[in-house]
Amino acid sequence: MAGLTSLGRRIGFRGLSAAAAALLAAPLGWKAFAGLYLWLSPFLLLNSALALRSFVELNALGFLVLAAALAQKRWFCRHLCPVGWGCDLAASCRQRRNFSTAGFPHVGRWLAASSLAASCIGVPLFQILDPMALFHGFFTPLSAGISAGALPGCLGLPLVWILSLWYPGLWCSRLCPLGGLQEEIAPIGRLLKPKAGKADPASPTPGTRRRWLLSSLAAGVAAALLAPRALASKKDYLRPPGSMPVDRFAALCLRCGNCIRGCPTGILHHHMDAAEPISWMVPSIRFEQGYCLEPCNLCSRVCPSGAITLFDPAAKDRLPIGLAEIREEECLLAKNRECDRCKASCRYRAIAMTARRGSLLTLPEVLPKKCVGCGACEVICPTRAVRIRPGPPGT
Amino acid sequence: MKRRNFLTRMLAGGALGLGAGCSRKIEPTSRRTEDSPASPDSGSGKTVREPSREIPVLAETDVLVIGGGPAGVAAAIAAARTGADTWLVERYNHLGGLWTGGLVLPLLSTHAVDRQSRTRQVIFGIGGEMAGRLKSLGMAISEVNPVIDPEAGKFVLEEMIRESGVKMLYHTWAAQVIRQDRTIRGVFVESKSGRSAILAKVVIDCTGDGDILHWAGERYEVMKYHIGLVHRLGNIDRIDARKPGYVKRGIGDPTPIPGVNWVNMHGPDEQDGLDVRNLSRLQMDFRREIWENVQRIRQTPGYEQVFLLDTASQLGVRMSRIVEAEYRLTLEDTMTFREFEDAIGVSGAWTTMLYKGKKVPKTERPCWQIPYRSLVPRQTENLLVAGRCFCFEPALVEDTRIIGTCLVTGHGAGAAAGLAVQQREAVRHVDRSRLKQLLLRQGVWLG
Repeated sequence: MAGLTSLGRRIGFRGLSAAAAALLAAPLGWKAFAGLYLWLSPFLLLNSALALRSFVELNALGFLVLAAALAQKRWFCRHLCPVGWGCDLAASCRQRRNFSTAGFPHVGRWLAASSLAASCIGVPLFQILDPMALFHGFFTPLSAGISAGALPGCLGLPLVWILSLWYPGLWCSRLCPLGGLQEEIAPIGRLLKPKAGKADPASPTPGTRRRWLLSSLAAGVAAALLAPRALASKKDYLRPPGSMPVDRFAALCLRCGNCIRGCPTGILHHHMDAAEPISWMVPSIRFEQGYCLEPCNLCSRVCPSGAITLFDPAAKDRLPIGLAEIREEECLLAKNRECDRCKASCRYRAIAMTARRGSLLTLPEVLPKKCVGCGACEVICPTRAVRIRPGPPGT
Repeated sequence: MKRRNFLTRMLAGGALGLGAGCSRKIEPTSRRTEDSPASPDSGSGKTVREPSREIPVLAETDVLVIGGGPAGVAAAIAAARTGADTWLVERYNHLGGLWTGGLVLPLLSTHAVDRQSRTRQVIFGIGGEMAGRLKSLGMAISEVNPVIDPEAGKFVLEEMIRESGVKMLYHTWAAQVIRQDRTIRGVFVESKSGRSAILAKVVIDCTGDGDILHWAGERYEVMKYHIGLVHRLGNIDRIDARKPGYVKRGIGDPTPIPGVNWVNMHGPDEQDGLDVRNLSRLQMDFRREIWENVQRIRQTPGYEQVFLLDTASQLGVRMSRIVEAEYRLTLEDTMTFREFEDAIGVSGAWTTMLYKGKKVPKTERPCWQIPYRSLVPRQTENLLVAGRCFCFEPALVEDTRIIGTCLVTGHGAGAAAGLAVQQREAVRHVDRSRLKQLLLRQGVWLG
């Protein structure tokens, strides 16, 4: 009973926030809001904004949280963070354990600073360690199904929580890059306040701090300069429309699974290519049961990192996923059967029925200039004679 | 101080790098330009005036059905069974239209999935009777989507017309309607006997091309689609696969007659089925190409005995006009078991469809009701439309243009016409509950 009341006390506002985050991440059909909490993270906001030199309307949420974090140190951690709530809950389960983070280095601050520095050169290095990305990655298998590709993504959150069982507070105060970022900007917040408070006794001395910051920035820049080659996937695969070029995509993608959760036709899956671990868990398309719906831009609306650029559905004809390819020998028309499914399903009028050998043989032909690789023809083809091949990179 | 400066500079630099208001949303460039269709050749442009003349009235009847295809035959029989005096006008020398004369032998869409996800027969009524009779003659292959023998089809349909007391006019072409305000008094027909008029209380347009609704001034859309010519090959059973040099060749699909195959032709796309010069050109090209292709087949070792049995007597015009009726049947209706209080029948599916971005294989397609309103044109008081030109969304074309659906719409239109005559009402005001009872009495399955 006593345990229950203490639990109730602990739930508080952050507990409610965690519940809301879990509900939004769960497969309840609120696809457009599925990844709302990711937009609240100022770490992700700054990473994607610096890396891409642009932002979208939804980023306003992140700016609000950033402003709040300037006004109150670790505002996000105190009031919203569902991961932190879980960490504290885990820690409280093993109260007897004595562990102090005092001697532990501020890895989170280092991660935040170096990641932002790297972002300025276009490679948001450590954004996949953002707690919101870990949190959402955990929920993805619920809607996308468990696959080898989704599994690593859903392990992050349990790992952080299990860590908190033995080392309470370690993640939040020392490892989390979102927490680190908020600590890093706290001094600016104090500057903006009318009365500058005393230096935080917990913060390191200015000299140490400067060294910390310089080393992390330098490491970030160095890593970002070296990373593009290491983080670039060489093999092309089918990515959502509006995706960044394949050599940048793997570096930009958070692996949060928002687009995979959001896709109304379920064509997005976690990419798994044994030969290229760097592109694991990013979204890739398989046209098995559905195709990329013409009036839909949900994947781009829910992508918090900008790996999928927000696009207007009407602009889809300029954002090719790939190019259809027809194996004529497999086509039903080559066997004098009645079929027009690929042409009829193509809203981009990219398939023409052309006569071969006089009128006796009419076969579908792809018009490469019109084809966007939406996959309608591939999924509808009764003999699987049509395949979408990854085309030229999008934007 | 240094630290502060550094941090502020970093922040300012970041903000500068971002640039104010540089949103990353990709906007559409401009409206996509539609492919402009080539303007049809309107001939020489010269006209002559036809002198007015008195036309003899061949008959005065209750119901006049134009077109003796699957829809027309079902319509005429259904109307005659309500007791209405019925005439049926057919331009060729046979009944069954493309099903028999066009050699499009499969009666498609006989089955579909019901609400309980069971595959079941959906086409009953007069269409079901036809299929049953052909089966009992041994002239239909398979239960689902049976392939029939065309001559057996012509025979069975004609026998059914005889039994129902429909007055039959072969070799007669409907040439124009006799309009009076919002009704049509009848139809001018043209034949060896010259021009004559058939006056009718209700006219059913089963021309497939919607000729009658066009003359009646109804609105419609024109769909340009594939046109082909089906042919049959004989001596298929005498192909010798053991001969040296034998290779597998496309020789079509079996018919109920042993040794005879029917060979479908998809034909060129986007063809105008309403331009007789185009039809004539295609007819000549197709015949030559089929002949030459059969000669090539005969020259292949093992195929020496194969011969061209016949080419279809009707060109395979798949689509042309689609009328604008009181209701347009949509893809959504057919995918969601949409129920209509004025349903005249249920049809099935034989194609895989995309619905809301997902694939629905033909084996999982729901059966779909056809509402009476989709057969009732917007203006004319006594015209009904059945067959491939009734009102539907073009996305549905593969399932609405086929024999099974034509039989269903034909039956519904015929029964409704009979009822309109009995009630002395405009077709759009036919009592829906009485129509439903009538159709159920006539053996139609309404879902």
